[in-house]
Amino acid sequence: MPLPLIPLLPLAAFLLNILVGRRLGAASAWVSVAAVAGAAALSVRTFLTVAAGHAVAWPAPGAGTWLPIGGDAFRLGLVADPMSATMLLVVTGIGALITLYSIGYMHGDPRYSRFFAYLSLFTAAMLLLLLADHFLLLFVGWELVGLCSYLLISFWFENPAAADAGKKAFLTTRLGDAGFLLGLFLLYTTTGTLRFSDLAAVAHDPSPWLGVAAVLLFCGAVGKSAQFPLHVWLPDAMEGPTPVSALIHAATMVAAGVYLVARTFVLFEHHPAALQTVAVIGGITAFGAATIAVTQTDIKRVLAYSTISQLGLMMLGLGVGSTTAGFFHLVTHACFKALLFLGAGSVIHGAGAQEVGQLGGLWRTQRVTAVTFLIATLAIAGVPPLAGFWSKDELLAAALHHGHGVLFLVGAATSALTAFYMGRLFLLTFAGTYRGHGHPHESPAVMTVPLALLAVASVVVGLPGSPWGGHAFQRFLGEPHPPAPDLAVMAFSTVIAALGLAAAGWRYGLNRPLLPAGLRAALAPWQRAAAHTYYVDELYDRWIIRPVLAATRGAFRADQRLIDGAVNLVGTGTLAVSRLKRWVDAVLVDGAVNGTAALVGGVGSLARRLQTGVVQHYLLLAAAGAALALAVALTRGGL
Amino acid sequence: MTDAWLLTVLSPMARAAFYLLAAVTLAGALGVTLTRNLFHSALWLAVTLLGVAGLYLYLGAEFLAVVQVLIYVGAILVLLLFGVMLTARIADPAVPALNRHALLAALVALCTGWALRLAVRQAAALPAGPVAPVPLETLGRGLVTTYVLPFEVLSLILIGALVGAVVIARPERRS
Amino acid sequence: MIPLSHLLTVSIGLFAIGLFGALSRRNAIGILMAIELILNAAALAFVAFNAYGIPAADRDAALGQTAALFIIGIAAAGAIVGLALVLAVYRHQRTIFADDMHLLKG
Repeated sequence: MPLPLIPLLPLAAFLLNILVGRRLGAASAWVSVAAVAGAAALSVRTFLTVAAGHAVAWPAPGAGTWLPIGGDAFRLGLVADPMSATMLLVVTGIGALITLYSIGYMHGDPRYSRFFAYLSLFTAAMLLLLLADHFLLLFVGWELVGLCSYLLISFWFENPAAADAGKKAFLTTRLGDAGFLLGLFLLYTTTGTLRFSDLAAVAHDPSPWLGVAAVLLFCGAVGKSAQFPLHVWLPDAMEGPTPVSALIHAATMVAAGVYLVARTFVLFEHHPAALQTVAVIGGITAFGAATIAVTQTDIKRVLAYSTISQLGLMMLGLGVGSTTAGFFHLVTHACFKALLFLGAGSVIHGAGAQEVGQLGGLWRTQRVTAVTFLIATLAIAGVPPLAGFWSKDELLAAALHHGHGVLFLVGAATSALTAFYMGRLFLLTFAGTYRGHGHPHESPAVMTVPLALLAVASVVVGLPGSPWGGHAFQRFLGEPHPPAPDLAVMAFSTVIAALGLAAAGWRYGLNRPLLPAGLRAALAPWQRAAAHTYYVDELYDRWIIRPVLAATRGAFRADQRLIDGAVNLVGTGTLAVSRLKRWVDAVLVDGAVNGTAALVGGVGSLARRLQTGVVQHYLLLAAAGAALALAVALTRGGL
Repeated sequence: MTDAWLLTVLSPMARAAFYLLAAVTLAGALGVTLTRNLFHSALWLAVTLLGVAGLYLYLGAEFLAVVQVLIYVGAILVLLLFGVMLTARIADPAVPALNRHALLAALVALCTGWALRLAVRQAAALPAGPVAPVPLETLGRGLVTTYVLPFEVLSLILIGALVGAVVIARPERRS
Repeated sequence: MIPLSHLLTVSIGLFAIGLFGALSRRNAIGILMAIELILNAAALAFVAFNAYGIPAADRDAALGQTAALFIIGIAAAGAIVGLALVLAVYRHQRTIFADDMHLLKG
């Protein structure tokens, strides 16, 4: 069963929809659904094959090349190993559900078929990224998903905010991708290979450049996974349709960064500084985003910052040395975050608003949405035995056991905050009384069925990684010694989850003030800062964007002046030359002519004086002349 | 005639006569040019011409002397006198005789005179003494044989001059 | 016997005085008179040379006097025309002063 079929099915759906989608109409959606479902089926089959212990590769070893240069180093192909097989399931599974969901959400949109075309293209690109066994191929997929992200975020491009958000996303991730490329170059020049399978062998290279390369590769992950300081695009990306937010910016694309680090982990392992960077960045991102999420009032924004925060936790997990922890959380997060976004989409669809000020009391009118949302909330908060608990617990345990006490505390604080803000969101949206002006109603089945399915996933997907599941997941991933269950950490995680939820319930459910007035006042400036996302966007605008724009304007003006200067120079030069010529003509030429005339005239005037008209004068001259001639002839020696 | 002439020439009185005649001639010439009164100037011209006639006589050219007197003094001078008369203002003492360039003219004249004298000095050899005078017959024969062309031309010139003078001096036609 | 040079001196003197007069007399007729002097000087020179044996050839023995005759004739013609001119000018310009006759002034 050829691996390429997996990304090719959605690709075919894309081509079909983009070319004849208009004519297909509503059927275009089902084309995409069918494609991704088919890919999902194939993914299951692949997964089972891999689970049985056989890695699947395409092309078969020894065949196929893409770039005819560089010989062996550029033999590209696809491979399905435990990590990629898992991701295949996640992407195709959640992708199928979201595609199905979009039928209801995008109903009536004038560019309906194009949406599904883009969605399919994205799915194909993501699958390519996952299956790649070579950095270059991964990069191709990487860039393609970035493109699809741009296309989908600014899908409603008539809205200037959406168009700007798309551009922002693309440009910000581009920045990270620049680092990614540099890392690739460095990796190639240092080790001479770009194949994942060779990484294990070359990672032992003591060259410090490999560490630099690792950090640079991480830059790409920082961009793609919205880590600090390149996180600014993700909140704005919420301008896109909610299914897009769910698929791309929650479950899959943003996870690509984590996936990349996990894939190249062996490099990081040998360079502790790079690993530390990953962990620290992850920690900062996790905590900072969580504090912001507490203050937001737009459902999707809360979820966006939540995503950023959770991705930070994943990075933290990787950074402390546990690929399985990070990866595990990736999988569980994909499920419940997708569910949360789809639920938010359902709320938007049903109640017609995304600001919590316009919501409330939807428990009564959107029951299915509410229940599934609740399940997801509990999962993300880390309530056992839901999925989030197991993965988060493993993260915290890893941090503690690898000796990163500070990071452990950061993770713990983040988890507490996560529980708090998710509880807050749930209560503000579904509890209390309806504050809006619409007629909230439940969404159609095509939207609620995926919600239900994801809810189930959110409950059970953690189990294979839990001690009850015998740490099957970890062993599947290749971890030889899965960590012994640390009951203390488990209890601790449970407690902080409960505390967070309780605090949310106290504040937003019972509407009792949470903090004493004094503390609240002291924290007020922090709260304001958090509400304004710590002014990161403003800082970027002031210190980077404006200077660059000013520089470009300056360069433009200088260039203009150069060009204008050159043109003017040519003009003035020509003028000068013509003036010179005129001078020459007037003074020299005319002067010569006039001078000659004047000379002649002058001489004539002078000579004229001889012509007095008086005969005697003539005679005088003649006589004088004759006398002179005579004298000269005589004195010279005889006539 | 020849003997008488020779005798006359050799005589110191003759020599004195020459110098006298020369002086008169030159004085007359000066008088012509320097006199304010034009009439007087004409008279001085007469003197000069007569002086020249005398010199001709001294040189043995009697015919020429006579011709000189008859034609020059008798005709040309009279003509000039007529002219003088016809063009009034002859006795205007205020009008100077010479123009502004008199000095320059004098200089030029002197230079010319000096140059000519130089030429004379440079002459290889001047004949020592006079020769026998030319008989009239030779002169006459020459006029109608060797020099008949210039003679005829001269008559033509005279006619032309006459006609021309009449044309020039004719009063303007009133047509 | 008087050397030829003496005679020539007289001739030259006459010529010079005549030239001077021709150049400096204001009255037109005065100029004419001076010109007569010049002509006379030339004639005198001719006759003088002739009297002293130049030319020597038999054929040209009377050349000097012949020349002097012709000079007299020419002088007459010149005087005629000159006087006619002076009269014509006098009638037009009412002047006989050579200085005032500058119609041909360039």
